[in-house]
Amino acid sequence: MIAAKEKITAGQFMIVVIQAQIGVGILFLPSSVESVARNDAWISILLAGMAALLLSVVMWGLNRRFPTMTLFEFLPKLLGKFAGKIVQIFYGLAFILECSMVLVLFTDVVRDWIFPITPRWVILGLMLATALYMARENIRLIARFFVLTFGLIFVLILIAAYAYKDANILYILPINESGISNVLKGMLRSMNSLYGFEMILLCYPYVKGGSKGILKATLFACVFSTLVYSFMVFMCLIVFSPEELKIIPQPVLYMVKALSFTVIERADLYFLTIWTVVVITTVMAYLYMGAKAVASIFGKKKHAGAVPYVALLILCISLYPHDQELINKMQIIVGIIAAIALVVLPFLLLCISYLFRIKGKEGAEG
Amino acid sequence: MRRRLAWIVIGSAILILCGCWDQQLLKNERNVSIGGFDQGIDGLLRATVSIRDIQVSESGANDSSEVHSVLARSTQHARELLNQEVSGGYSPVKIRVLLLGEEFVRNHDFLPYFDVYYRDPKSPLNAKVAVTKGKAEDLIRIRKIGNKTIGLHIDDLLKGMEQTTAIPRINIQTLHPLDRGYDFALPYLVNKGGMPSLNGIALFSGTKMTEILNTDESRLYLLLSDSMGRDLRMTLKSKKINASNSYDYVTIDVKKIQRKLKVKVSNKQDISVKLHLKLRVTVVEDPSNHLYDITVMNNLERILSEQLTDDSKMIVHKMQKAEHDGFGIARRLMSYHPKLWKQLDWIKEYPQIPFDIRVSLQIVNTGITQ
Amino acid sequence: MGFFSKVFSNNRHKSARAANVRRTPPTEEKVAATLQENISYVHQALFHTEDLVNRSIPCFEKQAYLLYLNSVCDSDKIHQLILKPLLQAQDANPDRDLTAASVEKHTDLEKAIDLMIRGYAVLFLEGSEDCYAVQVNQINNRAVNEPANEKAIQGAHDGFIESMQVNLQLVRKQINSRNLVVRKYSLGKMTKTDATIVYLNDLANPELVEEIDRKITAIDADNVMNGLLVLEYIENQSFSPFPQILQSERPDRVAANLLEGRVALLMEGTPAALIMPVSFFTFYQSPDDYNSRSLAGSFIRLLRLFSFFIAIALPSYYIAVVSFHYEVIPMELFYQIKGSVEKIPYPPILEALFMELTIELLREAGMRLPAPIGQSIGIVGGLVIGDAVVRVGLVSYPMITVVALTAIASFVVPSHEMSYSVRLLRFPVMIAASLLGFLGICIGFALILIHLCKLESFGSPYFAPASPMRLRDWKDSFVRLPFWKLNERPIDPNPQQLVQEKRSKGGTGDDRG
Repeated sequence: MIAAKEKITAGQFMIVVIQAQIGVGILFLPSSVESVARNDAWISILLAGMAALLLSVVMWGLNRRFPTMTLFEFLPKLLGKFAGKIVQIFYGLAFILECSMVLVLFTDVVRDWIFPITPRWVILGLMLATALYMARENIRLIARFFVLTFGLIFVLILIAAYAYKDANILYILPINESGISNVLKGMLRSMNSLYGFEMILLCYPYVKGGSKGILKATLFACVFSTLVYSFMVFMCLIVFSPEELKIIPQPVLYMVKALSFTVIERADLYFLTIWTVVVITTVMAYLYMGAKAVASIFGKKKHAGAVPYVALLILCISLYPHDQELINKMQIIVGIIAAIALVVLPFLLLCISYLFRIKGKEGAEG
Repeated sequence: MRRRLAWIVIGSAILILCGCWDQQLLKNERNVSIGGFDQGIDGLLRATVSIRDIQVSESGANDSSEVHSVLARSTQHARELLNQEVSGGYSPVKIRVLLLGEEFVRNHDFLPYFDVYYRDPKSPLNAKVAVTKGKAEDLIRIRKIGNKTIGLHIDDLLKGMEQTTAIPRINIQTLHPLDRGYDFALPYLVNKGGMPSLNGIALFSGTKMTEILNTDESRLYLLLSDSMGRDLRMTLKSKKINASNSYDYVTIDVKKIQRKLKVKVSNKQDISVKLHLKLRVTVVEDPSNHLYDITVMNNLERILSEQLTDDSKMIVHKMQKAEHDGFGIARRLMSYHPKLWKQLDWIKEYPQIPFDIRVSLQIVNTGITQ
Repeated sequence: MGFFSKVFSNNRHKSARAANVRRTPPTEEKVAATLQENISYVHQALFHTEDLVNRSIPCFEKQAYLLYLNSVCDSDKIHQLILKPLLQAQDANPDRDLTAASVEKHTDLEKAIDLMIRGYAVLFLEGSEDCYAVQVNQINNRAVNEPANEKAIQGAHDGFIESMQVNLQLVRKQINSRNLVVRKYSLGKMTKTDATIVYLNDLANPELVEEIDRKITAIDADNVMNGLLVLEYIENQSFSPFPQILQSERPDRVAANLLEGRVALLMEGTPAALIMPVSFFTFYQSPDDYNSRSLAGSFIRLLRLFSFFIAIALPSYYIAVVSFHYEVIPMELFYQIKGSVEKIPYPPILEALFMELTIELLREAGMRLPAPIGQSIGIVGGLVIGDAVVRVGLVSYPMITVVALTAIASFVVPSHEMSYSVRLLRFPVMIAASLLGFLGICIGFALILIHLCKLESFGSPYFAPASPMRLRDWKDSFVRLPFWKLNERPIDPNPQQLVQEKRSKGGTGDDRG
């Protein structure tokens, strides 16, 4: 049983999911989706948001059958000891890779925008150390920190919204120029940025209140992140012409770079600074999940001991790619692994659970 | 606890011992406040910069301007050459104004020279851009006007002119050089006996300068493109006949504009543009003093409207001749008629588009006298 | 790691083990029948200390001896309360004759000796198996003055003094409730200092009281003379830069905190109460907020919280800007700053450290000197040094401005400990800023925030109500709403009753609660 001291409320859970979702994606999304879906990129994001909703419902449905267990606790029950272990390892790998991907992209941006000479390991080390300091704690304390820094997302939105003065709404037209298939391709690309709702698999038993509240919280979180992403993409689409978006990898930063307020100039530096905290929360979330996975692989109850090792592993992985091509390759690989872990597996597990009627002990209440 | 502390000590020791990689101390940098591009010999670029130095003492600050010119292959190359001349680190981060010589922008596609400004994360994207008659270098070599260095002077000059809607609000970022669908116009400066002064705007077609509008025309141009600054004042003839003395002029302050721009495509794929402008104005100077009479006022409104309509037609004609699409007709075609746009040869088509222009004016206020 | 283990080893675990040893009572020694035996026992027990006075009194028919330590007893009281009534008595019946308020009858000599040390006079009566301990201790308390470091412009002007008895009385005076409970402890194996915890029985969480009790009884030190020593023994994390227990010298502040379900610790000889558990925002509340009107109070409180931010972030922000990101300075300011930093030979971080340390030195020097000289030190330091370092070219004007602002901002904090922690915290952040610019500041602040989120004070979250977020409690942390709006107590000390008032604003014409 989980002690009351480790439980979080549904509201906290919602913010945990949002913080896990909104990370580096916010900078890359506009141009990466635009490159396939052109000026309909914002539709792609909205579609991706709906897909995320669907997936989180699947995960919720799966977890509802084991309301007192996390993913790693019910995997052996569902698949047997051996297969369960393999799937556990796979999930651990997925979380660790996703985390490294986030960090790789982050250090890339930092190198391009502020610190061209500073070695990558310094920035990576600092980020991971900060995340490690938090991720060792239980989900309740992590949730507290996430709630505290949640407001920063709104600061980012405000800064970006200020760029509206340079906007031209005509760029968004004509709608659906690129065709459905490209919009769908764009949707697949943007899925990567919406991952984070898998928190539900690990947090479900820790959330106070009934399963309906949890579902609501997850859905709200997905809707919120989708709206934030589509807002950012929309802003970029109306500030930059399609030609420009093609050559600007981080349009959001570029958009705020030229802004000058009366007291400050170069809003992009402030944007980056605040965004760093948002990325740190994402890293924390994945580090936590990764550590949970690793701890359960080795049959440990507490994840705190595994965190430093997982962080070290992530550091090594994220130091490896050093040119754009490798990063792109890594992105594809991580995308596939994440897709299997978050799309295919939960669905399969849900089917198995229903077909073989495997349920957690207190599964009836859901 | 012990282990954690040890980690912290080790970590911070590593960090401090490694030093600071990307430090760029403010005190070591020499900052350019204004830069200029001119055409050099043999296709090279003649780049001129003014470095503003300031000495703060208890009696106040003292400005000085140091001018350097180099002949370079590209902008980045120019930076390197300048760095060889300048003491301390050369830093273009705080450029306020970029001047482009007229000859240079008339004959060259200046875009490649701007690439480094878009690529460098530290570059000043909000620097203003202006075209100068003659060489930009001559203007920069003025060094100081009164107490102000040339960079500050031109920056303030342009800022003031933006507010009174004599020139468009434009900086390196909003130039949109990669944007098909808009053409931009830049302020046009002349050297008036050792004093930079604004003389209208330079119209560009693509990235080449093609035409000049004077300040009166530029105000109307900005009204037509619906980009009014903080305020806008125009002095117009108040009589139809040729004005003979100052009693025949009236000055108006534009309060509100309402622009309707419609691009119509007929069934035969003919493009036409409807541009209607409604102005609400205040009379700020009217030496003839007859506005208490409603018929006089209506008459004045009519005369001014006609006059503005005629002027606007002339401006649009000039624009079309110069292949300058400042209103973004092309953008509208792309957005609303994408199929047509793909078949179009825009350069050929644009000068032939018929414009239906109408300006109507309404006096809403006459100051504290009638 | 051996070095660290040696340096940072603490004896907390050992003390927990030794707790039960200390609690065994001293061996009992019955009062003997003969007077001589008793007196020589006392003399021996006190090792023939020379301030022990041994006075024989003919008490009617019997012989009596009065023993006391003249260094702690008030001879006037002995005369008034013991000698006079006994000498005038008609028969030897001390139970009736002794007119002192506090007379204890003991059969145990050891206990009597303990009492003697605390200012009791012990009367032995011939042929009696009891001895009488009469409280005749000297009381030289200072007056109940307003505390110098917690001044209030409006409101009550009384403050705690060095006597626990008086302090308890001051608290009782504020809360006339039978639920106010006082629990006594005696701390320190040698010093045996009296200490009490005070709480409201119907409000304070029993678990909290129990935890505090456990922590206090675990203290196994010889010397616990001072309340501030206890603080380090019982706070959760001694190495945290943030204080987790509030010290206050104001009875009204203590009472207000008791009424929120917190617990106060009072100690003999300490003119302050330790209040626990507290949250970060408690340190930014001042009694003045409550004594002025709600709008003014809220404004001042927001200002103070803003000062926390300025005090930590401003110097590091300036360092980051002039050494990494000078692009962010707006145009005109840019050249002004550039003009003044141009001739400075050192990097900004050294400049800042030099100036910050100078200010700390000045502050410390001014505090140690008597008031009139202290002020002149301030003037010499502020004006002469400030002006001279700029002229010499060691420090630039903007840096002086930044450092001065920072210093002022760090003095705004109403609590001394918090002021110290703010001043300490800004150094690591400054170094981080000089290494990695904005990113360094960001990481620094993230670490501080994480630490605040993790920190607990006696089981309740330290950064409440910001984290865990509870907007309802913001009414009395970030701002101060009118009292009739504060319907619920803050939740962080886990009080037994959350509701403190329902509708208190009567009438219909007023703004409604």
